[in-house]
Amino acid sequence: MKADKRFTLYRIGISVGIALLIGYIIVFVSSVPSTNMAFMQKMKEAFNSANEAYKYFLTGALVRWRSTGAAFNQSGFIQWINEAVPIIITGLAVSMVFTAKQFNIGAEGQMFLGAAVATAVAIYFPGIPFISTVFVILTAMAVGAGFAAIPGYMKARLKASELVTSLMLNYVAFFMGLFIIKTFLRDTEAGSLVSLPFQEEAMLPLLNERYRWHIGIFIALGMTLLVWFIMKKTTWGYKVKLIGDNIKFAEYSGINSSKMIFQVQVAAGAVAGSAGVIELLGYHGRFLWLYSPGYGWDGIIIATLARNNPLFVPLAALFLSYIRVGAKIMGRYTNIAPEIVAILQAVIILLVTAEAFLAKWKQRSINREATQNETNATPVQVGEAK
Amino acid sequence: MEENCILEMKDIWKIYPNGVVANKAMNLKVNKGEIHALLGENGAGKSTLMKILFGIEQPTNGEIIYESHNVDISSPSKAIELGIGMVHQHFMLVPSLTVAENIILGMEPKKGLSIDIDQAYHFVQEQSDLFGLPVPSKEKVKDISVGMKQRVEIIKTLVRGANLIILDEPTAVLTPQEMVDLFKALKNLTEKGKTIIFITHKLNEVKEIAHRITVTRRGRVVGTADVKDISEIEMSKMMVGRDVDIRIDKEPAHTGEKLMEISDLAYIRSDGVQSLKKLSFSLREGEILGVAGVEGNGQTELVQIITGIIPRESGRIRLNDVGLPMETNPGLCRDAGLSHIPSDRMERGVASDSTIAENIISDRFKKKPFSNNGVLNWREVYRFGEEMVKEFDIRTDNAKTEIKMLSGGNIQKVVVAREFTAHSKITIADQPTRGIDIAAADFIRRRLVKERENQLGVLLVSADLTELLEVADRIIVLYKGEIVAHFKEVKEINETVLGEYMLGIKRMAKEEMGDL
Repeated sequence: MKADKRFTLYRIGISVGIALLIGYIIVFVSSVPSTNMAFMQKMKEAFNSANEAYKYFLTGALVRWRSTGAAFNQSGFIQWINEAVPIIITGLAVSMVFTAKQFNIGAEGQMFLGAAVATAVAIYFPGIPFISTVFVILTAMAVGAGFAAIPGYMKARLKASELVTSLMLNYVAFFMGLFIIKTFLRDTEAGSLVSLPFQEEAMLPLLNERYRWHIGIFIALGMTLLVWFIMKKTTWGYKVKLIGDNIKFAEYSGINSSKMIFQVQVAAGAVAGSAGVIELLGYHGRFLWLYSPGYGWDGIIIATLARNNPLFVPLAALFLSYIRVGAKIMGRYTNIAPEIVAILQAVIILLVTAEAFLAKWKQRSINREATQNETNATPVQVGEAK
Repeated sequence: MEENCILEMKDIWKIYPNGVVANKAMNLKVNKGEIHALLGENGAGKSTLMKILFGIEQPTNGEIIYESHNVDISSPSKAIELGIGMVHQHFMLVPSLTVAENIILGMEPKKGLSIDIDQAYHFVQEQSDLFGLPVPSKEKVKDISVGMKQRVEIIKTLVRGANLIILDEPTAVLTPQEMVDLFKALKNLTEKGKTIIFITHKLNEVKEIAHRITVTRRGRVVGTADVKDISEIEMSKMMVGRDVDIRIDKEPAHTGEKLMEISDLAYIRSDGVQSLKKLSFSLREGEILGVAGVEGNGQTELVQIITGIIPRESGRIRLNDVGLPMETNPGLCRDAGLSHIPSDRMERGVASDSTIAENIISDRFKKKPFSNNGVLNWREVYRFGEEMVKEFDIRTDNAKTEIKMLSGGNIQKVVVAREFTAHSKITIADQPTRGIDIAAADFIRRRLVKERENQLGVLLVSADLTELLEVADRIIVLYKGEIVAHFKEVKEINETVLGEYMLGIKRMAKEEMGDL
């Protein structure tokens, strides 16, 4: 039935709209000046500055506002694209495990540990253009896959909840990653805790030197196509989908569900493992995270928004990074804290995942469709017997 | 007449979120002090209508008038407040508590902070005497019989002030003697002014106990009548829309080689009950072997073991001359040439968020032409899906429709389409026509007979005795995990004969059963 799909689209659109509206109200309230003024005057001031802030927020990533007029904001644009790269990749990884209804939320740890171990390769592996880069990324993927295999194995063999194990293992990955960097790879010359710089040859080619626009976006889009192909066009992806839809049915059909549950988590771990190191190879040139950057968690948001469809993952990721870059720019030009974006994210996710939100409306359109079909069909003879 | 009416449900519609229309403009009028039977096949909408009356489901449209007041029944507690009680098919009792404790649950007499247990026993005794429903109030619920549990449920509704009691297929789980007791108790209750709505699909019960009936079919009310004015045949006509005729013309069986051989099969359930006791029988080419038995006498376990869903305790299974290992799984059984129509299609037979075509290829997606080197050929998958939609008369726009959008009968046709085109020599059909419309059921039965004519073997497990007698060539009866009867000539027996063996009243000696 069409009502179902249309409804999903509406719900996402309306959720985004409501979130932006709530964001506006918050911006408006925090823009009310505290000076002594007439009430209407205060409102007017607040209205003006809220509009100004929202202008930066909604357009800042693309437009540079000058007194002379608007110009293309190259730095904002590049920042927008670059920031989308790691979260596209984690979004893909999460959408894979979520398709199988395996709530493995270990993407954060897989990403972090993958980046930390691959840092060693990026520093010490002989600098051969292209080959080193590929080797670094493959190392990160292998580490991610290996780390994801732990909750995967425990779920498939011991029926241990992957939600709990993968969540806990994120801490293990984080401290292990920091330990590796601190103990073996630390740049003692540097003022802060960072790794030694990567070999120049291992770095990703740049499209723009000044703002460091790297080719990560093409890697991410390539991975999107690959994951889409695997999930939608191969027997393996079909099996993953069946397991997520009805695991008893999959088993009854002759699919080895334990094996598949293990495999999908490992495959997703490989994808997630590469997310962090691609950003390091493209932008920073060394490992510099003291805190986990949260890309794994973003992946959960993105997979949810994209309804686990790999083709929608880049769209959701670009949307998220767009409002984040917008918020940062707004923070730079106004007094509004860019953290407002976290509120917007929370509202959107809440509304998109709240099954009951707009459910009455959905039910009405289903009712309409069903009654229509009913009246079109020949009715069963109804009558009083005797 | 009007003031005699206790309940009226007007123009009730129920449309589920998945688009299934369970009730279509249903009307129901129930008089005070009567036993009103709500008659209809599985899936006719009678249970949904009663769930609406008891506040479990909300109607999409329509009104309910109870005791001349327009009421809005938003929850079961609201229904109880109004004086409506319901006894569910699956009892809602706490097994580890005593009968009295179960009855007073939620309305306990207090003595200080603790429950006044003596008063509770006294109260329960008093109530059970009042309504003529004796119960062993000090026994634990887990130790009493099914019929007694049902009685406890009825008292539970009564002590909460129910004047209208809904009984959802109360006889499905009862032995004949318990049924007699229940009917006596119900008549007694109506004499005390209580009104009873009795959901059933068994005509003889209606004739025996009900004053009036309302017949439902495919979500609509077909009609209401006084039981004394209407014959069983007329009732069945109303129920199914045409004469019940599942007569299937078939040639005598030409049995060949043994396809499946089962010997000394045993199984112990997790609660320690030995639900299969050294079962041995075989299935030959070109025959339909029927398995009869009251639910819970080992049929479920038998089917699940043969199809590889649960492991057996001991015994041997040979499929097409290949022995099945102890560590088995459904994939292995399918490879050995087995098809399986599961009893619960939603639980195991389909993936409801996937399309019809995706569901049909679930056992053969690895094979050509559906995939090549691990890459699916979706065009071929959907072409085959469309073919199946046509051949099996699945009512839908196309094979891209998701399963959750289909009705029960059409979902079963999807299951059957997959299982009958798997080219396996043996088909295990577990309740293949349960809860689906007559036309779909008839279609499936004819396909089963066709399988047999192609020299394939079918094991048919069914609670529908008419179906077994019509379709099967041989019938075995299971009682408490044992084969207690074997009929080689199905034509010579009838439902009553089967019933005696199913209920354990009679059992055949080994010699009498002959070669299984």
